[in-house]
Amino acid sequence: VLRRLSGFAAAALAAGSLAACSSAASSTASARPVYGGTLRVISDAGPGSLDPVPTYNYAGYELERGYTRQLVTYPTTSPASTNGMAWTKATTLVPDVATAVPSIANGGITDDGLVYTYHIRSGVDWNSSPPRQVTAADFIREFKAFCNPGPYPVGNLTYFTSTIAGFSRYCAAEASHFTGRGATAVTAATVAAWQNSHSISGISAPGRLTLRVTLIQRASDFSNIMALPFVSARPQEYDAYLPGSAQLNQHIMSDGPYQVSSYVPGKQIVLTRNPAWKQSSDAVRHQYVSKIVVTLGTSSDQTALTDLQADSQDLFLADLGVPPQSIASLQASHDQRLRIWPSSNLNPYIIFNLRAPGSGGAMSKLAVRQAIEYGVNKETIVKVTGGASVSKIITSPIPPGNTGYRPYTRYSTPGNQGNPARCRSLLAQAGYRHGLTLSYLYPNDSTDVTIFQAIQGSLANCGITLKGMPEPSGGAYYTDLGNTPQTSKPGTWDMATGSWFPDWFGNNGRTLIQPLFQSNCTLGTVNAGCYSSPAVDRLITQALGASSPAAAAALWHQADVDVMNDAAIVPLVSAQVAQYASYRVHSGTAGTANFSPFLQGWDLTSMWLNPPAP
Amino acid sequence: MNVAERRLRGFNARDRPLPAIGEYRQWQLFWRRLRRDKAAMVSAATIAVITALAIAAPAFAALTGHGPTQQFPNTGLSATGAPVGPGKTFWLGADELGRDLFIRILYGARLSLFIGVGTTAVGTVLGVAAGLAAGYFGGWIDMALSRFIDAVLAFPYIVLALALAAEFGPSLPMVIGVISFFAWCGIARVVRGQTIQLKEMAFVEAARSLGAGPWRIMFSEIMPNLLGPVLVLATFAIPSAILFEATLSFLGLGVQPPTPSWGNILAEAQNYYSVAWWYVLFPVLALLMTTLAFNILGDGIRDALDPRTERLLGSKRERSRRRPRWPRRSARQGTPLAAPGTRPESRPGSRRPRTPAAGTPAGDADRRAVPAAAAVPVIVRFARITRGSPAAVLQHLIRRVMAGAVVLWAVSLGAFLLFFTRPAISVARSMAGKEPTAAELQEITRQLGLDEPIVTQYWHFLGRLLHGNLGYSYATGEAVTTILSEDLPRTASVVVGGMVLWIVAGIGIGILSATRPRSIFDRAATVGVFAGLSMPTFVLGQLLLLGVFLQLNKHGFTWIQNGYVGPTQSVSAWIGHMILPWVTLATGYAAVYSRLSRGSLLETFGEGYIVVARAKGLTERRVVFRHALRCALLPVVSQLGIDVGTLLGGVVVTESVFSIGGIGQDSVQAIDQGNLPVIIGFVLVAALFVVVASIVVDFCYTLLDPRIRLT
Repeated sequence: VLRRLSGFAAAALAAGSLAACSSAASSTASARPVYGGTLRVISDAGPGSLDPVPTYNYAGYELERGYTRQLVTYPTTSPASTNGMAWTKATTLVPDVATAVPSIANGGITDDGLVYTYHIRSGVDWNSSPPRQVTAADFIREFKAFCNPGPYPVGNLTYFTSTIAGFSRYCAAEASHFTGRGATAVTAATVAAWQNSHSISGISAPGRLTLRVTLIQRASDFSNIMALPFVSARPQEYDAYLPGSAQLNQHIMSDGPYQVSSYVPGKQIVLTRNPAWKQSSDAVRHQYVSKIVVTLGTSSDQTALTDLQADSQDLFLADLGVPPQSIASLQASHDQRLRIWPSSNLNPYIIFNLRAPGSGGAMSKLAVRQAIEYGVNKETIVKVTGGASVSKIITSPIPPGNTGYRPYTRYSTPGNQGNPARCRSLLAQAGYRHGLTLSYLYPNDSTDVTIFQAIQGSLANCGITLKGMPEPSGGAYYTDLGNTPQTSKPGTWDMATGSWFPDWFGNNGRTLIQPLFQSNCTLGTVNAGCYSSPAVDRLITQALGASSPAAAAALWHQADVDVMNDAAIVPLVSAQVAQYASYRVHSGTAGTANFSPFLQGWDLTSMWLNPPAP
Repeated sequence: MNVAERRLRGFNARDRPLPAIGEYRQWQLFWRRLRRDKAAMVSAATIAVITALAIAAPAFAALTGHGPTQQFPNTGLSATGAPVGPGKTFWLGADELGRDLFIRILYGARLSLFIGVGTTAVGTVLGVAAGLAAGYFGGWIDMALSRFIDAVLAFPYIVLALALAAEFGPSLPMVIGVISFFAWCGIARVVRGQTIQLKEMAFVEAARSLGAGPWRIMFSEIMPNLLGPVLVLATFAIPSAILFEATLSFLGLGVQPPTPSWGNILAEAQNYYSVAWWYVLFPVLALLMTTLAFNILGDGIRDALDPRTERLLGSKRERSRRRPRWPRRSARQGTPLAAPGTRPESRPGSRRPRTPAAGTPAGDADRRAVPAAAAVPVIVRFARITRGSPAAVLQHLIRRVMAGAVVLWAVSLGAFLLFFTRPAISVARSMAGKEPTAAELQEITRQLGLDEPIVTQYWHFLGRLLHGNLGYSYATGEAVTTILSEDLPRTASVVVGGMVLWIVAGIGIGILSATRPRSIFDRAATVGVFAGLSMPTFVLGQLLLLGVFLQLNKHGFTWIQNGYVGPTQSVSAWIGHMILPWVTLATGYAAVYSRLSRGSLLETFGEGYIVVARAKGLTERRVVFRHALRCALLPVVSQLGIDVGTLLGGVVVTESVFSIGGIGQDSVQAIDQGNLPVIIGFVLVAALFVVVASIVVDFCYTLLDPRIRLT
C-alpha cells in the first residue's frame, strides 16, 4: 500500500516517483500528432482502486487523467526546472469541466473570499447510453462519498473538512448513523440512501450546471484543493456500489477521453477511446492513442527498465522508476529514451523523534540534532540516489518551486560533505563526548537501505552509531513512523527516513509545512517526530487564512526558518523525476508536452505513438 | 586400539602392499575411497582455502586499510555515483557506497560460512534427536512429531520468513532460526526412516537382549549407523543454507547491511548487473566456488560411504574384496518388512518430502540422493494394504486425508496466529491514506472486525473458511478466491512448464551420465549440474533477463518476452513468455533430478535382471529404456510428487524476477501490505498442495512399482 500513499513513500524514490527529463527528446521527432496504436504501459501494484474517492497515488492519478474530469486542473507542460515561467505555468490552474477558474476578478469568488462558484461546461458527457451531461449534482455526489462508512474513504479528508462549511458536521452525522448499537448496516443501498437524503451545508447547486461552495474561512489555496482528483464528477450509477469497492471497480464510467474497458485487479487495466468524449469540450486532454494497456505486477524497477530497453513496453507509471544506479550509465550512453523532469519534494529527509527516550533523551536536545545536521554528508546521498541530475540537495523544509521558498543554508558544511569536527563539538556540548547510539527506522527496500547506510557511514565519522530498524515498506514502516502512543516508549526509533511529496506545487503550505510541522501528536500523524512550536503553529494559522499567495509566502518562509533553527528535520535532497519511454512515444512541443508535475508522471492523454504499431 | 597400534597401522598402510581387508575399519575404508576421489579432494582444499581467507580477513583489511563497512565516497565512487572498478586501490572494485568489495567478500565469507555451518549444526542436532525419538519410540510420539513436521514442511517457508521479519525485524538470529527451522525437519524425516529400519536389526535385538535400555540403544547402537547419511546430508545442507540466506537477502530478510554476507552483497548488487560487472561477478564466483565445493565434497562423501560405489563403477578386484566386509550395512539390507524384490538398502538423504528451500536451488541439495530407502516403509505399508482388501486401501486413504486435514488446520492456525495477532493499527494505517486521523484509523479497524477479541476473530475466520470463503483483500476489496483464481493459472504455468523441462533435462543428463559413468561427459555433467544447483535463482533469473531477453529483443527477436500471457490467448506467446522462468526454475531441479536418476540407474544396472537382460543379448538401448529406466525412475516419480506440492510455495523468486503475478509474487506483496486475508488464503492453498501431493505420491508409488503390485 505504500504506493497508495502517494507522497509519503520513501520507497517511492526507488519506486519511481522520480521524474523526468531533460533531454528534450520528447518534443522532437514528430510534432504532428499521429492517431492510433496501442500504448503499452507497465506498473507495479497500480492504483489499487479505480474510484477517484480513495485513490491517492500518482499511478492512479495518471490513469484517472484518462477517465475522470475535475472542475479545474493543471495543464500538462514540461518545465525544465523549478524556476521560471514554465514552472509557474505548470503549477497554475486552468479550467477543466468548469468554464473558468474562479477569481474575484471574474466574479467566481466573492469579495470576502468565502464563496466559490463554478459554472459547468455544456457538452461534457458521461459515457452512459445515451451520453448524459455532467452536472453540478455529479460533483456534489462525489463530495458526499468522501466520508463514506465503508473501508475506502477519501484519500485526504482534512483538506475538505478544514475548508468547506458544514463538511465536518456532515461526516460526523454519517459516522454516527452507521456506527454504534442498532446502527444501520453498511451496504451500497443504505449508504447511497443516506447520502442522497443529507446535504453538506457549504455545497449547493443553484442551477443544473452551477456549483457553489462556501468556505469556513478564506483560503488562498482552495482552488488547488478543488483540482485534486478526489473532486471528480461522480455519476449516479455509482450509487449502486460502495465507494472504492471491488464491484464499483468493474463498473467505472468515464467523462474523459478514455474509458475502462477491462480491469483485472493486480493484473491488467485496459483503456479504450470514449466515444462520448469530444475534443471541443476538453482543453487539456487528447485522444491520440486508440488503446492503453496497463500491465500490472512488475515489482522491480530493474525489470521494468529492461522491459522498456527491450522495447516490449512503452513506458511505466509513477509507481515504477528508473533505478538510480542506471541513470549515470544511461546518460553516458546518451540514451534519448531517458528523460529527467523537475520536481520539488523532500525525498528523502531525516525525521528526529523528539519524544524518543533513547540515549538519555538525546533527540530532545537541540545540540544533538544540530550536530547531526552538520554530520550528514549530503553529497553521498546524492551519489547513491542517482547523481546530481536527479537528486538536488536541499537545505530547508520548503524545497524550491513552492511558495515560501527562499534559498538559505542554516547548517552549511564544506562541499555538502558534512563537518565531523563541528558535529563532534556540538555532541560534546550536549554531554556526549564519547558519542552515542541511536536507532534508525527506514523502509526495507534497496534504495532506502543504501540511503540508511550512507547516513550511518557519515554519522559514524563523528561518533554516532546508528542501529538500523528496517520495516516492510508497505505498512509496518508507516505504522511505526506515525505510532505516537509508542514514540515516547523505550525501544522506539530515534531517527527515521521520511519522504514527502506535496500534493500540489506553488501555494502549498497546506500540503507541506502544515502537515509536517503543525503540533499534531496523535495516532497516525505525519508530523512523525511530534515537533511542536507555538510560534510555528501561529505562523501556519496566519498563512492559511492569508488573503493571497503572496501574503502567505512570507509567513511560510518564517515558519520554514523556525523549523530549521529548531533542527526538527534534516532536509537531504529533492528527487527529480527520471522517466524512460520507448522511441515510439511522442508528444507535442512545450504547449502540450507529456509530463505533468502535478501527476509526477506522464499525461497519457497528451502523447501519441509513431509508428502506431510497435 | 592404542596409539602405538595406530601408528603401526599407518605405517603398514603406507609401506606394505595392500593388507588383508580385515585390517580396515569402516572409516578407514571411507577415507581411502574419498582420498582417491580427486574432485572431492580439490573441493576440500577449496573449502580450506576459503576458510583460511575468511579467517585472515582482518589481516587483509589492515593491509589495504579498508574496513568491511568503511565508505570511501570520494575515491570509491565516481562523480555521478557509479562505483569504481577493480584497480590498485580497490582490488576487486568498490560497491555502491564506495566500500572495498574484496574486503566485504572476505568478511562475507565469515558470515556465510558461519550461517551454513551454524544452521546445519542446529538443524542436525534437532533433526537427529527428533528423528531418533519418533523412529525408535513410535506410537503417539511418532504420530505427533510426524504431523508436526508435516505441518512445518507444508508451511511456505518464504511466507514464514517474511512474517517473522515483519514481526521482529530481519536479523542474523532470525536468519539462523528460519533456516534451522526447516533444516531439522528434513533431517528428522530421514533419521526417522532409518531408525525404523535399524531398530528391527539383529544387532539391536542383541543389545536389547543384553539388557540395554532405550537411550543406550538409540545413542550407542543406532546413532553410529546414522552418522554416514547424516554427514552427507549435513555437507549438502551447508551450501543450501548459504543459498537460502542469499534468497532471504534478495527479499530483504537476510543479514542486515552494513554487515556483509554473500547473500546481501549479491542482493545489493542486483541493480548493478549492467553497470558494474565486478559487483556481480566476484561475489557470485565466491558463492559458486564454495557451494560447488561443498556439493561435490558431499557427493564424494556419499560415494565413499557407499561400498557399492566401486562395485558399480570401480574394478572387479575391489568389488570382490570388499563385499563380505560391511557387516552393519549388509545387516541393514533386507528389513523384515521389505517386500520381495524391493531395494531397501539405504542411501543417505533419502526421501524427503519437503526441503528447506524447495523452489530455489537453495534447498535442493538434499534431494539429490536416491530416495529408495526411506520410501521403504511407505512401500511396505502399501504392499501390505494391497495384499489386503480394497476396504483397507480406502481406510488408509481416509486416514491419510484426515491426517492431511489436521495438518491443514495446524497450518491455518499457525498462519492466523502469526498474522492476525499483529496490531490492527498496522493494517488500518496501511489502508488509511497519507494523512489519517486517529478516528479514521479506529473506524477502519472496526470495519475490518480487527477490534474484536482474537478468539472471536478466529471463530469467524473458521466459519468463513468452512463455507469456502477466504475473505476479501484489504487492498482492493476483491474476494481472495477470485485473486487465487487469477493467480493459480500463472503459478501453474511456471510450475508445469518448469517441471517438464527439468524432468526431460534432468533425466536425460542422468541417463547419459549413468550409461557412461566416470566419462568426460559424466564429469562435465556433474560439474554443470552442481553449478546449476549452486546458482542463486534470483541471480540466474536476472542474468537471463539481461543476457537473453534484452539482447534478443534488441536484435529484433521478439518471441521471448517478460511477464505473462495465458495459453488460451496464444500458446506460442505463452511459451515465449514462460521460457525464461522455466529455465530459471528448472535449472536447480534438473540438477537434482539428474543426480537422482543417475544414481538410481547405476544401482539398477547392478540388479540381477539387468545382468540377465544383457546376457540375453538385448540391445543396450532396450536394456536401458525398457528395463532399467522403469525401475530406476521410481524414486524420481516419488520426488516429483513431493516437489510439485512444495513448488507452489517456492516459486516466489522466479515469479518476482519475471513479473509473473502468481501466488508467490503476490504473497510477498500481501505480506508487505499486511493484507491478512490474502496471506492466509495463499498459505492454505500452498499447504493444501503439499498435503494432496504427499497422498497422491504414496498411492502412485504403490501403483507404479510392479513388484509391490504383484505381491
